[in-house]
Amino acid sequence: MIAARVQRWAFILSLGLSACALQPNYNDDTSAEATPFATKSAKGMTAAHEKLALSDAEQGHYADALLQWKILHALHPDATRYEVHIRQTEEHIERLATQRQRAGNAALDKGDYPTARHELLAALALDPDRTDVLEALRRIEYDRVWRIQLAKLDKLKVTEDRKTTSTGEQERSYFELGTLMFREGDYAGAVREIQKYLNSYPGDLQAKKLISDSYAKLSIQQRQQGLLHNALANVEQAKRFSTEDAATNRKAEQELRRTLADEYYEKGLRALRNDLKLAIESLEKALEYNPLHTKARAKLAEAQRMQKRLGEISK
Amino acid sequence: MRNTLALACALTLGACATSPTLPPRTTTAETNLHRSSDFVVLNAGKGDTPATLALRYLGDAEKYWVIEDFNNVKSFAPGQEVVIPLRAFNPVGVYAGGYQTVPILCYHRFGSDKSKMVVSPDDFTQQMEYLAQHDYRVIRITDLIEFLQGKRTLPKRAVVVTLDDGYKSAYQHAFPTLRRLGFPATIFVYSDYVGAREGLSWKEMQEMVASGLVDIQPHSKTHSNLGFAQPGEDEATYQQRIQVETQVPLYDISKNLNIPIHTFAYPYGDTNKDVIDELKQRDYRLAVTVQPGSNAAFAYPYMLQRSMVFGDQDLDTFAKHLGAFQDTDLR
Repeated sequence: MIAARVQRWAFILSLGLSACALQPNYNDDTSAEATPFATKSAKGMTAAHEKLALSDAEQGHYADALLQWKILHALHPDATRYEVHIRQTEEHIERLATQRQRAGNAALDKGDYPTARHELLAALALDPDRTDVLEALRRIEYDRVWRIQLAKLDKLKVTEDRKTTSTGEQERSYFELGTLMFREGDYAGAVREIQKYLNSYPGDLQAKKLISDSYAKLSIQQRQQGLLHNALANVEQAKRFSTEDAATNRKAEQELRRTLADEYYEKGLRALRNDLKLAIESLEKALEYNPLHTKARAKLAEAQRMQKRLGEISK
Repeated sequence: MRNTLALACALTLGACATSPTLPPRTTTAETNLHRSSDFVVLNAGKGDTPATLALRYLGDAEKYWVIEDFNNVKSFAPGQEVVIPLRAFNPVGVYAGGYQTVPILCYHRFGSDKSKMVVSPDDFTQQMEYLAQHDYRVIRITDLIEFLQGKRTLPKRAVVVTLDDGYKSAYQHAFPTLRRLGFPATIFVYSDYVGAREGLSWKEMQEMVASGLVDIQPHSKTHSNLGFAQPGEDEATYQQRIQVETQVPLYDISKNLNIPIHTFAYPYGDTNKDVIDELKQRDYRLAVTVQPGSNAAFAYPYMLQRSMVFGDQDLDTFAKHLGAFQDTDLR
């Protein structure tokens, strides 16, 4: 730190002395301002840029100081003093940037990433054209973001142990996990996670659509497995959460109801021969699922008549 | 102290030594215009604006921000000094007081029934207007390619807007606002969702691309997580899935929109070395995650950070995503 301060003051002193030695005849306008861009005379602008250059150097902003000297050289191409200032500043920058880069690389070798990052950034602030410094910083950054990514993947893989830092994050993770499970075909898991999210955000259309789709997919799976009652219950849920187009779910529900009604009808028919009570229950169930099942209605009436007749005989 | 004085003397003597050869410069007294290989310095004339001067001296009026940023002004009074840099002096944006970072905003869906994942159209408009009113400059994501190589200066307060998944609401609600404000944006679509009930159609995407503002880029084929193998998925199947998820949308978008593909958005923001290797083989230049934060010039191009904008955030929270400069003392 002390060495840096000494270097800075030595450099300022050198600029001041050389400025005195090579001072051109601008002494008729001394109204220099720190900001050179307001309307003013050419001499005033020159003085303002000079003041800015010295001020930048004094504050250790050497790259900015160098720009000011270069602007002054554009304004006064015949004034050699600005060429000298440019060269001196460039040499100073080169020396300091090399020091900072070496310090950064040494810290990098020791695995001290915070120090390495700071020193390499300092080198780049002095000399933004150092591509090897940029590359070294990129390697540090790569390591940083990669560690974050690996931690996230580990967290996703061990979902049971998920712990989040705030309610919002936790709910978001429910949604993300639910979406992930849906993509992976775990529809029951998706329903479970999205329902947790919806407990906090019941109006979220995207979540409602996702849970509706999950219920619908679950229903299709269960139907293929012959679990028609579960399939019907889930397609009813899918319909309940449908946000826009419920026609598909309605159609699936009606098909399931008809299939279930047909199954109960067949069961009723089979029972009609030896178990009248079961036959009536089954045919009633068939009509419950499909009130328009005319065959079931007719067979139910027939079964009820038979039951009545049997009752009269038993009396 | 002795060393300090010795150094001061050496520098002073150095100042008296022969000047090095520097590029020739011209001065045009009539127009009060001074030019070197690095700068044009002039006094603004009546009617001069950053755009007119950028057109005249940088060859492109769209580079007006170069003049605005260097002079730290939005307009000039006649006679006012203007300095025009003719080359990029600090393309990496690292200064003694800190370094430039570029936030990439990530939206998903838009709708009136706002929630965490759904941003209302009014909120989106308000957020975009906030960018305009606070001197943020919305840039194209492709502008980052050269910035990340240390070859291109970006405007101060540069910000990128991205929209994930390819919801139809991007066309219905976001696009009109983007078009009105002239803001570019990139929509990442997963190709299986194109044409779905709430998904964008190719026709809608063609219209947005034709505006010159909207870019469409891949977000995988099915939106499956590429960060790890799925349960029961063997290594060969997993590698094949990575290939399909990165190639198919590339092919679909190129075929239907006839635009170059350069950036991939990882589903759920997750990636690994295999996925990145595949992207490099397919000539993707950038890839974005959903790790929150802004990106410096030394950010890794295949793991760029993005900040998700949620529907339940107010404007103050939104503004916190807009970190365009990291203050730190680098002297």
